Amino acid sequence: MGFDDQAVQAPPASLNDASHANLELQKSGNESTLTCRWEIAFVGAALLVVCGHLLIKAGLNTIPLISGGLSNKLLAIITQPTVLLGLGIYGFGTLCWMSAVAQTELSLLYPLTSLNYVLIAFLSYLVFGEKISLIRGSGIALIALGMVLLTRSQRKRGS
Amino acid sequence: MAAKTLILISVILSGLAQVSLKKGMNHVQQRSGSGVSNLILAVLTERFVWLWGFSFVIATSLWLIGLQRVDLSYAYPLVSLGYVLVSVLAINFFNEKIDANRWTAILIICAGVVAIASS
Repeated sequence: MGFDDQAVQAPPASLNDASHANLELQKSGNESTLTCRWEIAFVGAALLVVCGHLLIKAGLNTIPLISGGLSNKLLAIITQPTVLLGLGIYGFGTLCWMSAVAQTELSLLYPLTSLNYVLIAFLSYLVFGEKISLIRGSGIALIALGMVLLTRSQRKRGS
Repeated sequence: MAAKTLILISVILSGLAQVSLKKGMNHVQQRSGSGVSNLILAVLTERFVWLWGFSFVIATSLWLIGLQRVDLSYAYPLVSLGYVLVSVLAINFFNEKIDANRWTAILIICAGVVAIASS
């Protein structure tokens, strides 16, 4: 989402080192941590972010398209219950993402978020009947590929 | 304003907000002493963190208004444009280097964004 993935932005190499050290710390038996395994946190984040966005869009689809000022439109949107529920679930997904990021390297997690694009496209087709044309599908595939390459170049540099 | 323009502005503003947050948190790291309360105080008095907050709220609002009128499968992948923007801005603001591999990846993402935008 426009803002979704903010938590997902490119990290400086030093951050990677820090989170890696953190991982080592946990491996060495720091049981008092409240965090769950990063795999669980990541899958939770992906599902919540995708579901959150589907709910936001579903809510938006129920609001009639009104003409008028942006503030009027915004008011109609942020008082729509399904949109609010979606935003909340989305926010919770972002927390899960942060938990995953804190436990393992971002260069490992980042390309996995390409999965979100594919899930969103598939579910938008399934739930809303959106038409995924060949060119749109190709665009999504290119972005997913680019995300993987972006992270690989970073990982090589970091190591 | 056209919904697609709103989505585009939202994505760009989100990217700029990230740069602002990073800059603000760098300041916080330099200024704050030990202890959680000191950290919270340092965060709340950092103007670039506030700039991030305002940008975030505006970007989210524009996103919601735009998303009402376009397909989710159209809007969501465009978020990746923000990663590209942040990577490029990071060169200037934080002296991060971008090698040939990363430029290739950025160009591929841009090609994907152009394909989706024209769909």
